[in-house]
Amino acid sequence: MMALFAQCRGMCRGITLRGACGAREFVTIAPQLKNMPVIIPIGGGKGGVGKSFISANLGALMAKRGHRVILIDLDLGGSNLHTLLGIKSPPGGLDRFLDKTENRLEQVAVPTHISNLSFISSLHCSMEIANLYHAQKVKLIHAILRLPCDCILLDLGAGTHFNTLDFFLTSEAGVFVCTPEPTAIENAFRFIKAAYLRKLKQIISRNAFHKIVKDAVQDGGNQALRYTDLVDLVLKYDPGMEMFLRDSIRRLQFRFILNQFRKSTDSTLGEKIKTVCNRHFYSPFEFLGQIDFDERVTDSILSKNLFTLQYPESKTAIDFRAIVDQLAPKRVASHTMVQVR
Amino acid sequence: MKTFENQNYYEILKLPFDADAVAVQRAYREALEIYGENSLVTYELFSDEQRGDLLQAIDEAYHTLMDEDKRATYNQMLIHSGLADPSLFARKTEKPAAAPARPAPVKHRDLQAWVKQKSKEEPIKQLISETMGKDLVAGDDLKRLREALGIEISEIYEVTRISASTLRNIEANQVNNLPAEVFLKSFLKSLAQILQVDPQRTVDGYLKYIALARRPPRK
Repeated sequence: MMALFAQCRGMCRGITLRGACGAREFVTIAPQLKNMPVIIPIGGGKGGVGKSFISANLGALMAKRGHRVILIDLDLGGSNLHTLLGIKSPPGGLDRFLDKTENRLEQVAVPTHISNLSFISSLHCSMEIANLYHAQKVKLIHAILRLPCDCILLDLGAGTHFNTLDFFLTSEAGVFVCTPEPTAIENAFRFIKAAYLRKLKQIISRNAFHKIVKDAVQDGGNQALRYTDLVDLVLKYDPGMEMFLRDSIRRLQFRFILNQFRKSTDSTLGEKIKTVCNRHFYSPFEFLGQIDFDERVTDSILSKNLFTLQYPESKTAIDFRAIVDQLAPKRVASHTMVQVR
Repeated sequence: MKTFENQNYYEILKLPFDADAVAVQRAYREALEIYGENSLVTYELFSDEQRGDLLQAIDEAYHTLMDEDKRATYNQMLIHSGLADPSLFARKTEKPAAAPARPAPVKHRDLQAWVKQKSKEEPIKQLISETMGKDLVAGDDLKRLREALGIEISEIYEVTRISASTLRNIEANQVNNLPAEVFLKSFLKSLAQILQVDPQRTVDGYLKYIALARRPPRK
Protein backbone atom coordinates (compact mmCIF):
# COMPACT_ATOMS: atom_id res chain seq x y z
CA MET A 1 0.00 0.00 0.00
CA MET A 2 2.70 2.43 1.01
CA ALA A 3 4.73 1.56 -2.04
CA LEU A 4 1.75 2.16 -4.27
CA PHE A 5 1.14 5.49 -2.64
CA ALA A 6 4.74 6.47 -3.11
CA GLN A 7 4.58 5.55 -6.75
CA CYS A 8 1.42 7.60 -7.26
CA ARG A 9 3.05 10.52 -5.58
CA GLY A 10 6.02 10.19 -7.86
CA MET A 11 3.78 10.15 -10.89
CA CYS A 12 1.82 13.14 -9.74
CA ARG A 13 4.99 15.06 -9.18
CA GLY A 14 6.16 14.21 -12.64
CA ILE A 15 2.99 15.67 -14.05
CA THR A 16 3.12 18.83 -12.00
CA LEU A 17 6.66 19.31 -13.02
CA ARG A 18 5.85 19.10 -16.66
CA GLY A 19 2.82 21.26 -16.18
CA ALA A 20 4.78 23.88 -14.35
CA CYS A 21 7.10 24.58 -17.20
CA GLY A 22 4.86 24.07 -20.19
CA ALA A 23 6.60 23.28 -23.39
CA ARG A 24 10.03 23.87 -21.99
CA GLU A 25 12.06 20.95 -20.78
CA PHE A 26 11.39 20.28 -17.16
CA VAL A 27 14.94 19.20 -16.58
CA THR A 28 16.36 22.66 -16.62
CA ILE A 29 13.77 24.33 -14.48
CA ALA A 30 14.33 21.84 -11.69
CA PRO A 31 16.72 23.82 -9.49
CA GLN A 32 14.32 26.70 -9.19
CA LEU A 33 11.56 24.53 -7.83
CA LYS A 34 11.29 24.49 -4.09
CA ASN A 35 12.82 21.55 -2.30
CA MET A 36 14.44 20.23 -5.41
CA PRO A 37 18.04 19.21 -4.89
CA VAL A 38 20.79 21.29 -6.39
CA ILE A 39 22.39 19.28 -9.15
CA ILE A 40 26.04 19.79 -9.94
CA PRO A 41 27.29 17.80 -12.92
CA ILE A 42 31.07 17.68 -13.15
CA GLY A 43 32.36 17.10 -16.65
CA GLY A 44 35.18 18.34 -18.75
CA GLY A 45 36.05 16.56 -21.94
CA LYS A 46 39.49 15.25 -21.17
CA GLY A 47 40.24 12.21 -19.06
CA GLY A 48 42.58 12.41 -16.10
CA VAL A 49 41.98 16.05 -15.24
CA GLY A 50 40.52 15.13 -11.87
CA LYS A 51 36.76 15.05 -12.36
CA SER A 52 36.24 12.11 -10.00
CA PHE A 53 38.78 13.42 -7.50
CA ILE A 54 37.04 16.78 -7.44
CA SER A 55 33.55 15.25 -7.23
CA ALA A 56 34.54 13.07 -4.29
CA ASN A 57 36.21 15.88 -2.35
CA LEU A 58 33.50 18.45 -3.04
CA GLY A 59 30.89 15.92 -1.97
CA ALA A 60 32.72 15.17 1.25
CA LEU A 61 33.21 18.84 2.12
CA MET A 62 29.56 19.68 1.42
CA ALA A 63 28.41 16.75 3.54
CA LYS A 64 30.67 17.97 6.35
CA ARG A 65 28.83 21.26 6.22
CA GLY A 66 25.56 19.51 6.91
CA HIS A 67 24.14 19.15 3.42
CA ARG A 68 22.75 15.79 2.47
CA VAL A 69 24.77 14.92 -0.59
CA ILE A 70 24.45 12.07 -3.05
CA LEU A 71 27.38 11.34 -5.33
CA ILE A 72 26.51 9.50 -8.51
CA ASP A 73 29.19 7.86 -10.60
CA LEU A 74 27.99 8.52 -14.14
CA ASP A 75 31.32 7.71 -15.71
CA LEU A 76 29.54 4.75 -17.24
CA GLY A 77 32.02 2.12 -18.25
CA GLY A 78 34.84 3.86 -16.40
CA SER A 79 33.64 3.94 -12.83
CA ASN A 80 36.14 4.49 -10.09
CA LEU A 81 34.56 6.98 -7.78
CA HIS A 82 34.03 4.20 -5.21
CA THR A 83 37.79 3.69 -4.98
CA LEU A 84 38.34 7.37 -4.22
CA LEU A 85 35.72 7.12 -1.50
CA GLY A 86 37.46 4.10 0.00
CA ILE A 87 34.64 1.69 -0.82
CA LYS A 88 36.24 -1.51 -1.96
CA SER A 89 33.39 -3.30 -3.63
CA PRO A 90 30.15 -1.37 -3.56
CA PRO A 91 26.97 -3.40 -3.55
CA GLY A 92 24.77 -2.91 -6.60
CA GLY A 93 24.07 0.60 -7.77
CA LEU A 94 22.64 2.03 -10.94
CA ASP A 95 22.38 -1.47 -12.41
CA ARG A 96 19.79 -2.47 -9.80
CA PHE A 97 17.74 0.59 -10.64
CA LEU A 98 18.03 0.16 -14.38
CA ASP A 99 17.13 -3.54 -14.32
CA LYS A 100 14.15 -2.69 -12.10
CA THR A 101 15.33 -4.65 -9.05
CA GLU A 102 14.70 -1.44 -7.14
CA ASN A 103 11.97 1.02 -7.96
CA ARG A 104 13.49 4.10 -6.50
CA LEU A 105 16.94 5.43 -7.14
CA GLU A 106 17.56 6.36 -3.49
CA GLN A 107 17.24 2.67 -2.59
CA VAL A 108 20.47 1.89 -4.40
CA ALA A 109 22.43 4.67 -2.69
CA VAL A 110 24.91 3.38 -0.14
CA PRO A 111 26.20 5.38 2.82
CA THR A 112 29.89 6.25 2.94
CA HIS A 113 32.10 6.66 6.00
CA ILE A 114 31.25 10.35 5.89
CA SER A 115 27.88 11.12 7.40
CA ASN A 116 25.40 12.84 5.09
CA LEU A 117 27.25 11.55 2.05
CA SER A 118 25.72 8.72 0.05
CA PHE A 119 26.99 7.18 -3.09
CA ILE A 120 25.47 5.49 -6.13
CA SER A 121 27.87 3.33 -8.06
CA SER A 122 27.78 2.25 -11.67
CA LEU A 123 30.47 -0.37 -11.19
CA HIS A 124 28.23 -3.39 -11.65
CA CYS A 125 26.48 -2.12 -14.73
CA SER A 126 26.90 -4.29 -17.77
CA MET A 127 29.91 -3.82 -19.99
CA GLU A 128 27.72 -2.16 -22.57
CA ILE A 129 26.38 0.42 -20.14
CA ALA A 130 28.35 3.23 -21.79
CA ASN A 131 25.75 3.10 -24.57
CA LEU A 132 22.78 3.64 -22.32
CA TYR A 133 19.43 3.37 -24.10
CA HIS A 134 17.54 6.58 -24.51
CA ALA A 135 14.57 5.40 -22.45
CA GLN A 136 16.86 4.31 -19.63
CA LYS A 137 18.64 7.62 -19.69
CA VAL A 138 15.40 9.57 -19.46
CA LYS A 139 14.24 7.37 -16.62
CA LEU A 140 17.52 7.88 -14.83
CA ILE A 141 17.46 11.65 -15.23
CA HIS A 142 13.90 11.81 -13.91
CA ALA A 143 14.90 9.70 -10.94
CA ILE A 144 17.95 11.85 -10.21
CA LEU A 145 15.82 14.97 -10.10
CA ARG A 146 13.59 13.36 -7.52
CA LEU A 147 16.27 12.18 -5.12
CA PRO A 148 15.49 13.28 -1.56
CA CYS A 149 18.60 15.26 -0.67
CA ASP A 150 20.07 18.76 -0.81
CA CYS A 151 22.74 18.31 -3.40
CA ILE A 152 23.60 15.79 -6.08
CA LEU A 153 27.03 15.62 -7.62
CA LEU A 154 27.25 13.84 -10.95
CA ASP A 155 30.69 12.57 -11.78
CA LEU A 156 30.72 12.40 -15.57
CA GLY A 157 33.00 10.53 -17.90
CA ALA A 158 35.47 11.99 -20.35
CA GLY A 159 34.52 12.74 -23.91
CA THR A 160 31.49 14.32 -25.49
CA HIS A 161 29.18 11.33 -25.87
CA PHE A 162 25.62 12.60 -25.97
CA ASN A 163 24.73 10.67 -22.81
CA THR A 164 27.45 12.55 -20.97
CA LEU A 165 26.18 15.81 -22.44
CA ASP A 166 22.61 15.05 -21.40
CA PHE A 167 23.69 14.39 -17.84
CA PHE A 168 25.68 17.61 -17.92
CA LEU A 169 22.62 19.51 -19.12
CA THR A 170 20.45 18.32 -16.22
CA SER A 171 21.65 21.52 -14.60
CA GLU A 172 21.76 24.94 -16.16
CA ALA A 173 25.02 25.66 -14.42
CA GLY A 174 27.22 22.62 -14.91
CA VAL A 175 30.83 22.59 -13.83
CA PHE A 176 33.66 21.57 -16.09
CA VAL A 177 37.15 20.77 -14.95
CA CYS A 178 40.34 21.29 -16.86
CA THR A 179 44.03 21.56 -16.14
CA PRO A 180 46.28 24.36 -17.40
CA GLU A 181 47.51 22.33 -20.36
CA PRO A 182 46.74 22.78 -24.05
CA THR A 183 45.30 19.27 -24.36
CA ALA A 184 42.87 19.74 -21.49
CA ILE A 185 41.87 23.22 -22.62
CA GLU A 186 41.32 22.01 -26.16
CA ASN A 187 39.02 19.24 -24.96
CA ALA A 188 37.23 21.57 -22.57
CA PHE A 189 36.35 23.91 -25.42
CA ARG A 190 35.20 20.96 -27.49
CA PHE A 191 33.06 19.83 -24.59
CA ILE A 192 31.51 23.28 -24.19
CA LYS A 193 30.72 23.51 -27.88
CA ALA A 194 29.22 20.04 -27.89
CA ALA A 195 27.08 20.81 -24.84
CA TYR A 196 26.02 24.02 -26.52
CA LEU A 197 24.90 22.32 -29.69
CA ARG A 198 23.11 19.62 -27.73
CA LYS A 199 21.29 22.25 -25.70
CA LEU A 200 20.30 24.11 -28.82
CA LYS A 201 18.92 20.95 -30.35
CA GLN A 202 16.98 20.24 -27.16
CA ILE A 203 15.47 23.69 -27.18
CA ILE A 204 14.44 23.38 -30.79
CA SER A 205 13.01 19.90 -30.55
CA ARG A 206 11.02 20.68 -27.40
CA ASN A 207 9.48 23.91 -28.58
CA ALA A 208 7.26 25.08 -31.40
CA PHE A 209 9.82 25.72 -34.08
CA HIS A 210 9.26 25.54 -37.81
CA LYS A 211 9.17 22.02 -39.22
CA ILE A 212 12.28 22.51 -41.34
CA VAL A 213 14.26 23.61 -38.31
CA LYS A 214 12.98 20.66 -36.29
CA ASP A 215 13.75 18.23 -39.07
CA ALA A 216 17.28 19.51 -39.35
CA VAL A 217 17.76 18.87 -35.63
CA GLN A 218 16.21 15.42 -35.64
CA ASP A 219 18.18 14.22 -38.60
CA GLY A 220 20.64 12.12 -36.66
CA GLY A 221 22.94 11.54 -39.61
CA ASN A 222 23.66 15.22 -39.96
CA GLN A 223 26.86 15.23 -37.97
CA ALA A 224 28.29 18.40 -39.38
CA LEU A 225 25.47 20.57 -38.09
CA ARG A 226 26.92 23.50 -36.24
CA TYR A 227 25.58 26.11 -33.92
CA THR A 228 25.73 28.85 -36.53
CA ASP A 229 23.97 26.64 -39.08
CA LEU A 230 21.10 26.15 -36.67
CA VAL A 231 20.85 29.84 -35.92
CA ASP A 232 20.85 30.57 -39.64
CA LEU A 233 18.04 28.08 -40.16
CA VAL A 234 16.01 29.68 -37.41
CA LEU A 235 16.66 33.14 -38.85
CA LYS A 236 15.50 31.94 -42.23
CA TYR A 237 12.38 29.99 -41.34
CA ASP A 238 11.51 31.11 -37.85
CA PRO A 239 12.63 34.71 -37.39
CA GLY A 240 10.05 35.18 -34.65
CA MET A 241 11.70 32.52 -32.53
CA GLU A 242 15.20 33.95 -32.73
CA MET A 243 14.95 35.95 -29.53
CA PHE A 244 13.44 33.00 -27.71
CA LEU A 245 16.31 30.82 -28.87
CA ARG A 246 18.91 33.35 -27.80
CA ASP A 247 17.27 33.85 -24.43
CA SER A 248 17.09 30.13 -23.82
CA ILE A 249 20.69 29.53 -24.75
CA ARG A 250 21.78 32.45 -22.59
CA ARG A 251 20.25 30.74 -19.61
CA LEU A 252 22.74 27.92 -19.92
CA GLN A 253 25.65 28.79 -17.69
CA PHE A 254 29.10 27.23 -17.49
CA ARG A 255 31.26 27.18 -14.41
CA PHE A 256 34.77 25.85 -14.36
CA ILE A 257 37.60 24.76 -12.13
CA LEU A 258 41.28 24.72 -13.03
CA ASN A 259 42.84 21.69 -11.42
CA GLN A 260 46.48 20.77 -10.82
CA PHE A 261 47.52 24.38 -10.72
CA ARG A 262 51.26 24.75 -10.37
CA LYS A 263 53.29 27.71 -9.28
CA SER A 264 54.69 28.18 -12.76
CA THR A 265 51.23 28.62 -14.27
CA ASP A 266 49.99 32.07 -15.19
CA SER A 267 47.95 33.02 -12.15
CA THR A 268 45.45 34.96 -14.25
CA LEU A 269 44.74 32.06 -16.62
CA GLY A 270 41.32 31.28 -15.15
CA GLU A 271 40.15 34.86 -15.28
CA LYS A 272 41.44 35.19 -18.83
CA ILE A 273 39.57 32.10 -19.98
CA LYS A 274 36.46 33.39 -18.29
CA THR A 275 36.74 36.78 -19.97
CA VAL A 276 37.37 35.35 -23.40
CA CYS A 277 34.52 32.83 -23.10
CA ASN A 278 32.10 35.47 -21.92
CA ARG A 279 33.11 37.48 -24.92
CA HIS A 280 32.72 34.80 -27.54
CA PHE A 281 29.96 32.50 -26.27
CA TYR A 282 26.36 33.48 -25.74
CA SER A 283 26.33 31.86 -22.30
CA PRO A 284 27.76 33.33 -19.14
CA PHE A 285 30.92 31.71 -17.76
CA GLU A 286 32.02 31.70 -14.18
CA PHE A 287 35.45 30.78 -12.87
CA LEU A 288 35.09 28.95 -9.57
CA GLY A 289 38.79 28.85 -8.78
CA GLN A 290 41.96 26.92 -9.17
CA ILE A 291 43.08 23.93 -7.16
CA ASP A 292 46.71 23.80 -6.23
CA PHE A 293 48.75 20.83 -7.39
CA ASP A 294 49.88 18.71 -4.47
CA GLU A 295 52.14 15.71 -4.76
CA ARG A 296 50.47 14.05 -1.80
CA VAL A 297 47.26 13.64 -3.78
CA THR A 298 48.65 10.45 -5.33
CA ASP A 299 49.47 9.09 -1.88
CA SER A 300 46.01 9.81 -0.56
CA ILE A 301 44.45 8.08 -3.56
CA LEU A 302 46.77 5.09 -3.04
CA SER A 303 45.80 4.90 0.61
CA LYS A 304 42.12 5.42 -0.38
CA ASN A 305 41.73 8.49 1.79
CA LEU A 306 40.02 11.67 0.70
CA PHE A 307 42.72 14.27 0.33
CA THR A 308 40.81 17.23 1.73
CA LEU A 309 39.95 15.30 4.88
CA GLN A 310 43.44 13.88 5.26
CA TYR A 311 45.22 17.21 4.78
CA PRO A 312 42.62 19.83 5.69
CA GLU A 313 45.25 22.54 6.13
CA SER A 314 46.91 22.12 2.73
CA LYS A 315 46.58 24.85 0.11
CA THR A 316 44.73 22.33 -2.04
CA ALA A 317 42.11 21.76 0.65
CA ILE A 318 41.74 25.51 1.18
CA ASP A 319 41.16 25.93 -2.56
CA PHE A 320 38.50 23.23 -2.35
CA ARG A 321 36.71 24.96 0.47
CA ALA A 322 36.64 28.22 -1.46
CA ILE A 323 34.91 26.39 -4.30
CA VAL A 324 32.44 24.72 -1.95
CA ASP A 325 31.52 28.20 -0.65
CA GLN A 326 30.27 29.02 -4.13
CA LEU A 327 28.71 25.69 -5.03
CA ALA A 328 27.00 24.46 -1.90
CA PRO A 329 23.25 24.98 -1.64
CA LYS A 330 22.53 28.15 0.27
CA ARG A 331 20.02 26.57 2.60
CA VAL A 332 21.18 24.02 5.15
CA ALA A 333 19.55 20.62 5.17
CA SER A 334 15.94 20.61 6.23
CA HIS A 335 15.25 17.06 7.18
CA THR A 336 11.52 17.52 7.11
CA MET A 337 11.60 18.17 3.41
CA VAL A 338 10.23 14.82 2.33
CA GLN A 339 7.19 15.08 4.56
CA VAL A 340 6.42 18.63 3.50
CA ARG A 341 6.21 17.44 -0.05
CA MET B 1 30.39 31.86 -31.27
CA LYS B 2 30.54 35.60 -31.28
CA THR B 3 33.41 37.32 -33.03
CA PHE B 4 34.23 41.01 -33.18
CA GLU B 5 31.42 41.72 -35.63
CA ASN B 6 29.81 45.10 -35.01
CA GLN B 7 32.45 46.08 -32.50
CA ASN B 8 34.39 49.26 -32.98
CA TYR B 9 38.14 49.43 -32.55
CA TYR B 10 37.83 50.67 -28.99
CA GLU B 11 35.55 47.79 -28.08
CA ILE B 12 37.84 45.27 -29.74
CA LEU B 13 40.77 46.41 -27.63
CA LYS B 14 38.49 47.10 -24.64
CA LEU B 15 39.61 50.69 -24.38
CA PRO B 16 37.84 53.88 -23.39
CA PHE B 17 37.57 56.47 -26.16
CA ASP B 18 40.15 58.72 -24.51
CA ALA B 19 42.80 56.03 -24.03
CA ASP B 20 46.34 57.28 -24.57
CA ALA B 21 49.06 55.64 -26.64
CA VAL B 22 50.45 53.68 -23.70
CA ALA B 23 47.06 52.22 -22.91
CA VAL B 24 46.54 51.28 -26.57
CA GLN B 25 49.89 49.55 -26.63
CA ARG B 26 49.18 47.67 -23.45
CA ALA B 27 45.74 46.60 -24.66
CA TYR B 28 47.25 45.40 -27.91
CA ARG B 29 49.83 43.32 -26.09
CA GLU B 30 47.17 41.80 -23.87
CA ALA B 31 44.96 40.99 -26.84
CA LEU B 32 47.83 39.22 -28.57
CA GLU B 33 48.50 37.24 -25.41
CA ILE B 34 44.94 35.98 -25.50
CA TYR B 35 44.29 35.59 -29.21
CA GLY B 36 47.80 34.70 -30.41
CA GLU B 37 48.27 31.33 -32.04
CA ASN B 38 50.23 29.91 -29.14
CA SER B 39 48.00 31.24 -26.42
CA LEU B 40 46.91 28.67 -23.85
CA VAL B 41 43.80 30.71 -23.06
CA THR B 42 42.16 30.16 -26.42
CA TYR B 43 43.86 26.95 -27.45
CA GLU B 44 41.73 25.38 -30.21
CA LEU B 45 38.83 27.63 -29.29
CA PHE B 46 38.75 29.16 -32.75
CA SER B 47 39.26 27.73 -36.18
CA ASP B 48 42.32 29.01 -38.02
CA GLU B 49 40.07 31.19 -40.12
CA GLN B 50 38.30 32.68 -37.11
CA ARG B 51 41.57 33.32 -35.35
CA GLY B 52 43.00 34.94 -38.46
CA ASP B 53 40.02 37.27 -38.65
CA LEU B 54 40.23 38.14 -34.97
CA LEU B 55 43.93 38.88 -35.15
CA GLN B 56 43.44 40.97 -38.24
CA ALA B 57 40.77 43.02 -36.51
CA ILE B 58 43.03 43.50 -33.50
CA ASP B 59 45.86 44.62 -35.75
CA GLU B 60 43.68 47.07 -37.63
CA ALA B 61 42.37 48.46 -34.35
CA TYR B 62 45.86 48.89 -33.00
CA HIS B 63 47.31 50.56 -36.06
CA THR B 64 44.38 52.93 -36.38
CA LEU B 65 44.38 53.97 -32.75
CA MET B 66 48.14 54.45 -32.66
CA ASP B 67 48.16 56.74 -35.69
CA GLU B 68 46.97 60.23 -34.72
CA ASP B 69 45.54 61.07 -38.14
CA LYS B 70 43.87 57.75 -38.73
CA ARG B 71 42.46 57.82 -35.25
CA ALA B 72 41.03 61.31 -35.68
CA THR B 73 39.36 60.27 -38.94
CA TYR B 74 38.04 57.11 -37.34
CA ASN B 75 36.68 59.05 -34.36
CA GLN B 76 34.93 61.47 -36.72
CA MET B 77 33.37 58.49 -38.47
CA LEU B 78 32.12 57.09 -35.16
CA ILE B 79 30.67 60.46 -34.20
CA HIS B 80 28.99 60.96 -37.57
CA SER B 81 27.41 57.54 -37.58
CA GLY B 82 26.10 58.21 -34.10
CA LEU B 83 28.08 55.35 -32.57
CA ALA B 84 29.83 57.54 -30.08
CA ASP B 85 29.17 60.75 -28.28
CA PRO B 86 31.66 63.51 -29.20
CA SER B 87 32.22 64.40 -25.55
CA LEU B 88 33.75 60.98 -24.96
CA PHE B 89 36.71 61.88 -27.13
CA ALA B 90 37.20 65.21 -25.38
CA ARG B 91 40.66 64.59 -24.07
CA LYS B 92 41.93 62.99 -27.20
CA THR B 93 40.78 65.54 -29.75
CA GLU B 94 42.06 68.45 -27.71
CA LYS B 95 45.51 66.99 -27.44
CA PRO B 96 46.43 65.56 -30.79
CA ALA B 97 50.14 66.19 -30.27
CA ALA B 98 52.21 63.06 -29.81
CA ALA B 99 51.40 61.89 -26.33
CA PRO B 100 54.40 61.56 -24.03
CA ALA B 101 55.37 58.00 -23.23
CA ARG B 102 54.31 58.63 -19.66
CA PRO B 103 51.65 61.12 -18.62
CA ALA B 104 54.01 63.41 -16.79
CA PRO B 105 52.90 65.74 -14.04
CA VAL B 106 53.05 69.40 -15.01
CA LYS B 107 55.86 70.19 -12.64
CA HIS B 108 58.01 67.49 -14.11
CA ARG B 109 57.67 68.84 -17.58
CA ASP B 110 58.54 72.36 -16.38
CA LEU B 111 61.58 71.00 -14.67
CA GLN B 112 62.61 69.08 -17.74
CA ALA B 113 62.42 72.12 -19.96
CA TRP B 114 64.17 74.19 -17.35
CA VAL B 115 67.09 71.79 -17.00
CA LYS B 116 67.34 71.46 -20.74
CA GLN B 117 67.54 75.21 -21.13
CA LYS B 118 69.92 75.63 -18.25
CA SER B 119 72.34 72.92 -19.28
CA LYS B 120 72.99 74.76 -22.53
CA GLU B 121 74.74 77.49 -20.58
CA GLU B 122 78.48 77.22 -20.93
CA PRO B 123 79.58 76.97 -17.25
CA ILE B 124 76.98 74.28 -16.54
CA LYS B 125 77.87 72.40 -19.68
CA GLN B 126 81.41 72.33 -18.46
CA LEU B 127 80.41 71.19 -14.98
CA ILE B 128 78.39 68.32 -16.43
CA SER B 129 81.16 67.07 -18.64
CA GLU B 130 83.59 67.44 -15.77
CA THR B 131 81.40 65.43 -13.41
CA MET B 132 80.63 62.75 -15.94
CA GLY B 133 84.24 62.54 -17.00
CA LYS B 134 85.27 61.40 -13.55
CA ASP B 135 85.50 57.77 -12.61
CA LEU B 136 83.91 58.37 -9.23
CA VAL B 137 80.78 60.42 -8.68
CA ALA B 138 80.44 61.70 -5.16
CA GLY B 139 77.31 63.05 -3.55
CA ASP B 140 78.98 66.45 -3.51
CA ASP B 141 79.21 66.34 -7.30
CA LEU B 142 75.50 65.69 -7.60
CA LYS B 143 74.75 68.43 -5.13
CA ARG B 144 76.93 70.90 -6.97
CA LEU B 145 75.23 70.04 -10.21
CA ARG B 146 71.77 70.38 -8.73
CA GLU B 147 72.58 73.75 -7.20
CA ALA B 148 74.14 74.99 -10.40
CA LEU B 149 70.95 74.06 -12.22
CA GLY B 150 68.95 75.88 -9.58
CA ILE B 151 66.76 72.98 -8.48
CA GLU B 152 65.48 72.48 -4.95
CA ILE B 153 65.44 69.08 -3.27
CA SER B 154 61.70 69.50 -2.71
CA GLU B 155 61.21 69.82 -6.46
CA ILE B 156 62.96 66.54 -7.01
CA TYR B 157 60.76 64.98 -4.38
CA GLU B 158 57.65 66.26 -6.16
CA VAL B 159 58.60 64.43 -9.30
CA THR B 160 60.33 61.29 -8.06
CA ARG B 161 58.73 60.89 -4.63
CA ILE B 162 62.15 60.09 -3.24
CA SER B 163 62.05 61.51 0.25
CA ALA B 164 64.03 64.68 0.90
CA SER B 165 66.03 63.05 3.68
CA THR B 166 67.15 60.24 1.39
CA LEU B 167 68.15 62.75 -1.24
CA ARG B 168 70.12 64.69 1.35
CA ASN B 169 71.82 61.52 2.56
CA ILE B 170 72.81 60.67 -0.99
CA GLU B 171 74.26 64.12 -1.51
CA ALA B 172 76.09 64.03 1.81
CA ASN B 173 77.57 60.56 1.15
CA GLN B 174 75.99 59.25 4.35
CA VAL B 175 77.09 55.69 3.69
CA ASN B 176 75.37 54.35 6.77
CA ASN B 177 72.04 55.99 6.06
CA LEU B 178 71.62 55.05 2.43
CA PRO B 179 68.78 52.81 1.24
CA ALA B 180 69.45 49.24 0.11
CA GLU B 181 71.47 49.06 -3.07
CA VAL B 182 68.59 48.06 -5.30
CA PHE B 183 66.67 51.17 -4.22
CA LEU B 184 69.73 53.35 -4.25
CA LYS B 185 70.37 52.43 -7.88
CA SER B 186 66.86 53.28 -8.92
CA PHE B 187 66.95 56.56 -6.96
CA LEU B 188 70.21 57.53 -8.56
CA LYS B 189 68.80 56.80 -11.97
CA SER B 190 65.78 59.01 -11.34
CA LEU B 191 68.01 61.73 -10.03
CA ALA B 192 70.28 61.50 -13.05
CA GLN B 193 67.28 61.73 -15.34
CA ILE B 194 66.22 64.94 -13.71
CA LEU B 195 69.71 66.39 -13.87
CA GLN B 196 69.85 65.12 -17.44
CA VAL B 197 73.12 63.29 -17.09
CA ASP B 198 73.98 59.73 -18.06
CA PRO B 199 72.10 57.53 -15.52
CA GLN B 200 74.37 54.50 -15.91
CA ARG B 201 77.54 56.50 -15.32
CA THR B 202 75.97 58.22 -12.35
CA VAL B 203 74.97 54.93 -10.75
CA ASP B 204 78.31 53.24 -11.44
CA GLY B 205 80.36 56.24 -10.35
CA TYR B 206 78.39 56.79 -7.17
CA LEU B 207 78.44 53.12 -6.15
CA LYS B 208 82.20 53.02 -6.70
CA TYR B 209 82.65 56.13 -4.60
CA ILE B 210 80.52 54.69 -1.83
CA ALA B 211 82.40 51.42 -1.91
CA LEU B 212 85.66 53.31 -1.45
CA ALA B 213 84.22 55.42 1.32
CA ARG B 214 83.04 52.32 3.15
CA ARG B 215 86.39 50.61 3.04
CA PRO B 216 88.41 51.22 6.19
CA PRO B 217 91.40 53.47 5.53
CA ARG B 218 94.46 51.43 4.65
CA LYS B 219 97.60 51.72 6.63
